[in-house]
Amino acid sequence: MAKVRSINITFPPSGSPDVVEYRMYYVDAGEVLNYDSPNVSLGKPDADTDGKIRVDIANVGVFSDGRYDIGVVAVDDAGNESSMSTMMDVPFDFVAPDAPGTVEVEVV
Amino acid sequence: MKKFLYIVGFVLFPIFFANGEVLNHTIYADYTSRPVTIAWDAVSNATRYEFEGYSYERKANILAGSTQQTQITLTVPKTGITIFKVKACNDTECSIFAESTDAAYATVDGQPKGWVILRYLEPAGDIGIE
Repeated sequence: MAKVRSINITFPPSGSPDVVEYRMYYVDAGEVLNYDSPNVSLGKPDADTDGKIRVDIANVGVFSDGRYDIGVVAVDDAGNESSMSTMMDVPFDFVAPDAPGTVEVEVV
Repeated sequence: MKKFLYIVGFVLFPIFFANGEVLNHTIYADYTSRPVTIAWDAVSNATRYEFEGYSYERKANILAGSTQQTQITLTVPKTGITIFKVKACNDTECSIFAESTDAAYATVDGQPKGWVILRYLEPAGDIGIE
């Protein structure tokens, strides 16, 4: 069974007190990323002790192997969205390489 | 630091409205939702000051009223742009709004000005990958 490493995205939270969730926008790398792009809610995770929120990309559920442009916005209780923190051309690799062939033992 | 850059950026690059008008008025830029107090110069023969607040996003006035004071504390929407303006009135007539070029009436620091209140939600910080 292959072992696939986790990929986390991290970001410091918004300082606005009325944020109810974070939303991630995403497109294939090189396409136009804006507020009309596909998006998924990240909920409102607590920040870790280093002050950053961490989200395991595998749990977001919308990504497959590939390169993406992604953006995160804060959303308040009225549905307003903040400006977008972005990262371009992010490689998400969820596929382990092929295993090597059968191990054999040679007695010499 | 980011907040400072936003404010500097907004001051250096004022809003261009659809009709081409450039608003270069007193600008308040803030992440928070706390009230804003706006003050203006007193007008000698004024008995009251009438004011309006216009939401740029909603394309409508969102507040209006009058006061005998030369300041008012406003609670404006948590995000978006509110344009506030005031005019001086006596018992018989009112000036035009202070954002006009008529400096004979309500002014700020001796200059005819309106107010632009910019509110925005603080974004998340820079994204990282681990």
